[in-house]
Amino acid sequence: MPILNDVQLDQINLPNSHYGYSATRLEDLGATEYTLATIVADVSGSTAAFTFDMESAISRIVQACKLSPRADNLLLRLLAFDDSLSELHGFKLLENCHLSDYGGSLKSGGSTALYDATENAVASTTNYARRLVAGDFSANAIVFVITDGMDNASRIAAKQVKTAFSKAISSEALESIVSVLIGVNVSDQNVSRYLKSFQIDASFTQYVELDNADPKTLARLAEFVSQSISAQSQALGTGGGSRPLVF
Amino acid sequence: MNADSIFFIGSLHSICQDYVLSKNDPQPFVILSDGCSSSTHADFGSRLIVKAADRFLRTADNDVRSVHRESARLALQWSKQIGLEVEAVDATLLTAHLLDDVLTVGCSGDGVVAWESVDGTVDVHAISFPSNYPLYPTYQFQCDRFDELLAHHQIEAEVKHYRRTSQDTQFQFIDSTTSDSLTHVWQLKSSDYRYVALLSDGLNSFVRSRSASNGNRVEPILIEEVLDNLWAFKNSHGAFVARRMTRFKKDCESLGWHHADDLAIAAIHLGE
Repeated sequence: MPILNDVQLDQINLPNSHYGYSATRLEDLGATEYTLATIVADVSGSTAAFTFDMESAISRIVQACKLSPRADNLLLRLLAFDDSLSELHGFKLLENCHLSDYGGSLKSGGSTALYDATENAVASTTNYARRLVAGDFSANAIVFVITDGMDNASRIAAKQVKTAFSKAISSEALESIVSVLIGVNVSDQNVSRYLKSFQIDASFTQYVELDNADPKTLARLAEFVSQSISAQSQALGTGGGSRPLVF
Repeated sequence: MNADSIFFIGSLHSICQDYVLSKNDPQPFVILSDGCSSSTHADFGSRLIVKAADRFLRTADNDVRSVHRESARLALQWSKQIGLEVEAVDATLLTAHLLDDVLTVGCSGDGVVAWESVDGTVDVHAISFPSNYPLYPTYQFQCDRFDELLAHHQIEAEVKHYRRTSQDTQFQFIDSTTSDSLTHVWQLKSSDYRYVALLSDGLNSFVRSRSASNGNRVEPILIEEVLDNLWAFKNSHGAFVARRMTRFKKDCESLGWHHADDLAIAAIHLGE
């Protein structure tokens, strides 16, 4: 059950999936176009040391997005995963995202269901974009998956993540989708190789690797994520996606 | 209730001479103007007459002819003050406003008005001037130009009526009438209707390109076919007209359709 949702969000089931998503009702959306931004945060046990700083980074992202000139055209979804997936909130307008809600929202523990979480993020984005397009809205999307380790708990395989990305593109509901895999606190070469390989296998647009997770680095990450969201939103209507930013 | 509007420049224009305004306070109303493409600075003129009508419609009763007349007078006064040519306010004026349960629609010059009833029937009236000299509302204050027009041209308007009885059917031509009215007025019981819309005559300028043995051939598209694709509001909140038209424009691209003239649309969602 999402913990930061309000009652106005619709609960939507995904076909052939154990976990659906929630999203703002179309009748509550007034603009012509939206960028669907999803942040997927790994909260497995190994992230315990920097959970607080990750929460701060998420708050900074939300704050920066609220100040973006495209704020009225953004819908933000926040997911956390360990061996299972938690939707902290569904696709919400920034005006309904309250900074105070994010403190204490991440609880670390458990193993890493990286593929399940990524697949849900992408499939939910595609499903909601289809609904938006049916209502004459235009949409594009950006998905960030932030993890410090290798999958060890998913029910699905990495290739199903690729299939989800392929469906997102072939659906024609999204004008473009940008996806960024972010390795945090990656000091082990095996993890680095694994994540680079996952980027290629799943066809993420970009891979960004951070060798630590100190407050300064996560603050930079917040800036990178919010700027990437803004760039992708500004690309809406051009027919293509934004250019990947350099971390 | 909710009013919204949008306008687009035509593919053969360098300046958009259509202008629209939609407001929801104190009651929803919409105003549209299409500046004459051959008159200098008619882009200013269309904006001036819309802004003038905005003043009068806020407190208007059901006498829309008076609103159009006074709007034309004020727009001419403003245009003179800023040093524009006499023909700058050669612009149509279309309005739709509510007073209690009475919806009043007015059209001075050429353009298209449409409404969808709660049972799903859509009626469209396309007002045009076969002489290609529309009777602009400012002519009533420009006697020399009006006399010149009368002396050399037929100024009767042709009003073509199209109807679609449900979403599953297509628009059909019903009939055509002529009129020498300066302002065409319709009054409807608003609670019987879902949507009312004003459109500029850019609706008649859609063309499609077809390849032929001697190169590409451009063919005009009948207004019925354009309406079949355009009139499909999915919702009624926020920028519902902008959403519909943005999607319609994308559909046009995939169909190979273009509109040569500027295109403007303003609509009010009246209820379900």
